Amino acid sequence: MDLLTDPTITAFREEARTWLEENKPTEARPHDDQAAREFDRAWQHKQYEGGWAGVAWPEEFGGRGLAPLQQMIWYEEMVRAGAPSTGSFTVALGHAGPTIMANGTKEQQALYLDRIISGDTPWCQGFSEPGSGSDLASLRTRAVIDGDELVVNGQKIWTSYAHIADFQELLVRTDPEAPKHKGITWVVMAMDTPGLTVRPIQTIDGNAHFCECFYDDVRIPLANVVGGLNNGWRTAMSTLSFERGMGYLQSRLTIINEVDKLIEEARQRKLLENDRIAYELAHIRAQAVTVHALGYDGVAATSQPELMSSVNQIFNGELSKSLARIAIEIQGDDGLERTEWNGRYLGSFPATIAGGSKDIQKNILGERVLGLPR
Amino acid sequence: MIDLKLSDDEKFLQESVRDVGAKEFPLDEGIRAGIDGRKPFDEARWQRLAGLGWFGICVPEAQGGIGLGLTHEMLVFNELGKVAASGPLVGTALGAYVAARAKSDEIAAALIAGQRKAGILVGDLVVDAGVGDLALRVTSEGTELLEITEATPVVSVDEALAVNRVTGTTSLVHITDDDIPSRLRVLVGAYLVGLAETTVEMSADYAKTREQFGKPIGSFQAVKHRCSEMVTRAYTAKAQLAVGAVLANLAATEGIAGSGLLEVASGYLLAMDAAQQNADDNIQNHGGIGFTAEHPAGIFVKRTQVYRHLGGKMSDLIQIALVSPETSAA
Ligand SMILES: Cc1cc2nc3c(=O)[nH]c(=O)nc-3n(C[C@H](O)[C@H](O)[C@H](O)COP(=O)(O)OP(=O)(O)OC[C@H]3O[C@@H](n4cnc5c(N)ncnc54)[C@H](O)[C@@H]3O)c2cc1C
Repeated sequence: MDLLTDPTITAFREEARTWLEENKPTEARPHDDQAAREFDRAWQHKQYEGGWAGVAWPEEFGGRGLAPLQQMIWYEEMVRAGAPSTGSFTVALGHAGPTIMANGTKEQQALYLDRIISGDTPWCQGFSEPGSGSDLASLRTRAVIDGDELVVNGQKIWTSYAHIADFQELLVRTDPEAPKHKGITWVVMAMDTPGLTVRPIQTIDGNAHFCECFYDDVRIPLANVVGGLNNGWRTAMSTLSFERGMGYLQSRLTIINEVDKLIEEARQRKLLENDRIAYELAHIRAQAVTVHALGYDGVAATSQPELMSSVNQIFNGELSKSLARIAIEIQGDDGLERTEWNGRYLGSFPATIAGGSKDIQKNILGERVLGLPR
Repeated sequence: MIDLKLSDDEKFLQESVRDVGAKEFPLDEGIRAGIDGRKPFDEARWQRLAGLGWFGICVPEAQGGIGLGLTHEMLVFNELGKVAASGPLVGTALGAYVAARAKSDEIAAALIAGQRKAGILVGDLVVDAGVGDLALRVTSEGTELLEITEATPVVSVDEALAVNRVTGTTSLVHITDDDIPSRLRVLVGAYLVGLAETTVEMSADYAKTREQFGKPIGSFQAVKHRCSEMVTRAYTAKAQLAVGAVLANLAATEGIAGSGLLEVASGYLLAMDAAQQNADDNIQNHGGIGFTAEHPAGIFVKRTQVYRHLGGKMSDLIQIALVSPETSAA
């Protein structure tokens, strides 16, 4: 354990900071999802042109081929600059891309990765179903082989950004006779494939970022299967542990900006003189700073992956919800009116649900990390 | 010693409000408001509620009310909370009571009859009342009933309720009776407890039917215990608020100043926490579906975010909880 003072690292940080100063978008990310898609594409493309897309992606896939450490520094600088996060590219950069790198054929890698990193194609994740959330492996969306195609019938739900994505990483059941983890296949589906219907679902905060996807004889080339037929569970898990570990790091790190904004709000309302509120904010800020430490811990990658990813998921989920709860205390009676802060509160509930609920994470910690009996 | 057993007429009132409440306020209304926007105020329904006497429960019979006690009124508002009823219910009922106390019988009669309605003022914001309506401002210094002469709508945190910023008023009634803040907290608190109770029911029902890993999710301790914590919050808040209501009522009937101040504030603080934490846990128990606008779980989150502000200033509550003595219930 030591502070890294290697001049190449300092220089890398300087370079990142300067580039962001000069190139980060000055306008806010649009509220409308179609417009947001174009905003995300333009921003990702700009990073690509500048050599900043996929800092830790291998050079052969268009990345910079640097270590997770540099990736972390890049994220830190993004947060420091208040630059937009990956938005509708989160799945593409965070799971679909890495999955294809790890499990895809040369052809698949050539077909998809370049269009992800260059900011061309947002992806979505079609995993959860109405009957299969926490118990993802029970999924029932069926795919039957017909010639050199898979014919898909069924339904997915909670598919974030399905209405603005170009591709979907899709889990389907290809062998209903096999034990539930063994009959699943991971396949790439283009979102303009006939037979697919996407319906956005409105959420309690008034947004509609996630969707239902209905598959009615959707024909997908067998060549789109990644990681082998009936091997989809293992293929998917390589992405999920990434999602729960380093994958969300950039958006997790941004919480410090929100915390600082809230502290400023409390200061203006003269609430920092109140010890309880001051303590709560201090505690929240301490936790927001700890997100950094967990990032460095992820870079060091010396812990058991389940320990790292579940601790991160629980810690960041609860942190995000606490921030929202304190925010509504701070704004007090002004909260009768819809404000940025109570909007944040209304939107905070998925923090302990999406990507594997906090209960499931606790089961993982208890059973797979601490070895407690099931 | 305080007897918390419901009397026959309390039970009868509770059951009749429960029946009507479920019919008049289907949860679907809150869902539609979230998705399509709020419908115009339902005057016909307001008239029906007035016809049942719900806005004059505690107003003496001689002044056109039903002449019952605060515990009765608490039961009414508890049932209204359970169905997340919309409209300026607390302000109108308490407004009528305040007007009657001030011997402004005409105003009391108009409120009881549903000809006028009164929202509760929080700072300069008022819920479910606009120009021409009344607004009730309750503080530790006194209680005022105002007519709203100027107001502009703001975006409400809860789409089912209208929030207006009041910029002009005329004062109609002013009293300094110091039991009004407690009465307000009993009614708002009872509504909050009602919200908390319905989320318990929703979560328990869902936990029995939703299956994952081949079992109802209620069989997992994480979910089972969360539901149990929810019922504990609602149950304790309800008991404390009932004690508060009994004691606060004595201020009016026996003239015991300050009766139930701490007890009501305590029940109210527990009710705020129960409503908010239960609404949150309820979404957690439902997973993704609980976060959608098409599911009623969100109504309870948003309604809590309005009602938790209606029972008076937080600083007053804190002060009472810190220093007020317990009321002797001997
Ligand atoms: C905003 C948002 C975005 C999402 N985006 C996507 C996406 O892009 N793609 C995608 O595929 N999915 C997505 N999801 C779905 C998400 O992964 C699921 O909601 C989550 O896995 C929970 O599943 P569920 O909603 O079916 O709840 P359920 O699994 O039904 O869970 C209900 C409750 O039971 C608890 N529970 C279940 N099993 C156990 C157990 N064994 N032990 C203890 N408690 C248990 C849960 O913790 C929860 O509290 C998203 C969800 C949200 C809210």
